[in-house]
Amino acid sequence: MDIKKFFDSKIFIVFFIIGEIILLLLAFGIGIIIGSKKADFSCNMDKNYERNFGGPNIPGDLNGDLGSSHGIFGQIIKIDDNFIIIKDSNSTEKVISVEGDAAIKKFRDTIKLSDLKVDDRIVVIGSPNDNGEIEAKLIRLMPSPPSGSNDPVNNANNNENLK
Amino acid sequence: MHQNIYYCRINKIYTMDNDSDEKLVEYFLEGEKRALEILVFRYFKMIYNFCYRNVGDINVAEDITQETFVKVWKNLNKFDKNKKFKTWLFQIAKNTCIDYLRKKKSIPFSKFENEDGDNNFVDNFEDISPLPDEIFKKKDLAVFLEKTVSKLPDANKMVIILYYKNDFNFREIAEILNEPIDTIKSRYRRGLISLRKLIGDYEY
Amino acid sequence: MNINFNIAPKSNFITYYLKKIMEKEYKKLFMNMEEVNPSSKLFEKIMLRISREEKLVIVKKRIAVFSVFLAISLGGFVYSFITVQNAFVSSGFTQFFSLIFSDFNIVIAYWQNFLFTLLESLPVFAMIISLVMFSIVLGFLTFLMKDMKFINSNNILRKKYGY
Repeated sequence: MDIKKFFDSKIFIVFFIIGEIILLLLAFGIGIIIGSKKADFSCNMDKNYERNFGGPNIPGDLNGDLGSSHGIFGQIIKIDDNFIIIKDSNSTEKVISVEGDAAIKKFRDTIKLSDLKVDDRIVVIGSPNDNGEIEAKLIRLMPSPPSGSNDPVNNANNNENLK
Repeated sequence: MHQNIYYCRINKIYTMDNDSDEKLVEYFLEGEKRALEILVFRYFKMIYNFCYRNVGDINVAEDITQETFVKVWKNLNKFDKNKKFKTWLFQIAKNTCIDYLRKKKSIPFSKFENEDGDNNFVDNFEDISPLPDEIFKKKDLAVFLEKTVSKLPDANKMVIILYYKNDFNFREIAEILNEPIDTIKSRYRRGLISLRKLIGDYEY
Repeated sequence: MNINFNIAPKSNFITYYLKKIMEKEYKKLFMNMEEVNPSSKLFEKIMLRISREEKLVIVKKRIAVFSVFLAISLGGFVYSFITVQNAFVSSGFTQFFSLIFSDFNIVIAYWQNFLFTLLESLPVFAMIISLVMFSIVLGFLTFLMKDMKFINSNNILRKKYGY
């Protein structure tokens, strides 16, 4: 079968259209799944807001996109026993639960939770729980950015300080 | 009302073949593209012959003919309706021929412009005499005529051809060649004298 | 007709009359001069050439317009590209993605959480806008290339015929 003829044929156009529809539906389906996970997480965060952050949920505080429910990249603002509170580039705060199976990494070394301190920048991968927390599986300590660089976390902090 | 306009238009298209050149130009400027087709069809052979007699190459003559009509199309909106279209068309053809010959440098430009070039044929004749009767009985008259005319000086040849082959008068030829009318008449006279001499020299 | 001009009486009327006869004779002579026939396709060539010149005028106008649109869309694309870049950084996607290289084994172990993190942090709308702008730029570029190709082919023909 001549490949050029196949690409010019009507059958190819039909297959192409069907393929496009499949891709569209796939993307739509993935979007639905991710959206529902985010929705669950935000619901749990809202339910447990007082417990996690020690104060009532101020209307408008948890507005906008809450970011990923399976990870966060941000700055440590508080370390409490096995909990870390992180603020990301959107100034959204999330509670990270650090259990025994969580790997904490700095460069090639494995470190302990006690080695982390406030203002450290970390990346966390985990899974959301019913308490509106992210159970960390991997925490990586990121090096501090050079001064004057376009760092989103720093920019978020600066914006807050200006307010 | 709309039907009438439609039928008038159809009628116009079918009767355009008999319209004058100036009318066709008017129709074309109103948007009737077929008018230009008719004009081109009317004159393309004439222009081709004119170009061929100037440049001597059939392929080049075709190219120059094409270029002439393209220039006509480009400049039709600038055409002076008070002038004759045929004259204007030949003006463009002549200029295009000169442009080509200048670029190719095959013929010096002065050959077209200088009416006072050396012409040995003029010296011994007082006036233009009539043609010998034998010439019309000649078997290969067309070929003979073609060869004889090609021997004439270019400036004179162009005037003779435009006068006798393309039916222009002296005023129109002066317009085409952008020369004073007296120059044209002088070239015509010299050309005819030269032609008469060449025809007379031939042994029948 | 053999008339000796030198013997005949020289009056203006006769001279005029004789000249008219002479002109008629030459006219009759030139009627024998054959017309050179051009090739059978000259008329079509002329009309084709005129239509090509007509198209050239349209193409040139189109190039001018498309160039302006291309410049605007290029500006828009650059802006959207910078926005996408910033979006990738601020969403944390770049940081999450870098974990593949630093903590490959852990990432593989928790691949589902990692995948969800990546998908949730993907700046979808910024990407869509950027891709749309890119498609617009590509579209205008394609049209421009086609028109430039037409002009180029026209120039080659002009050079060939020495105009």
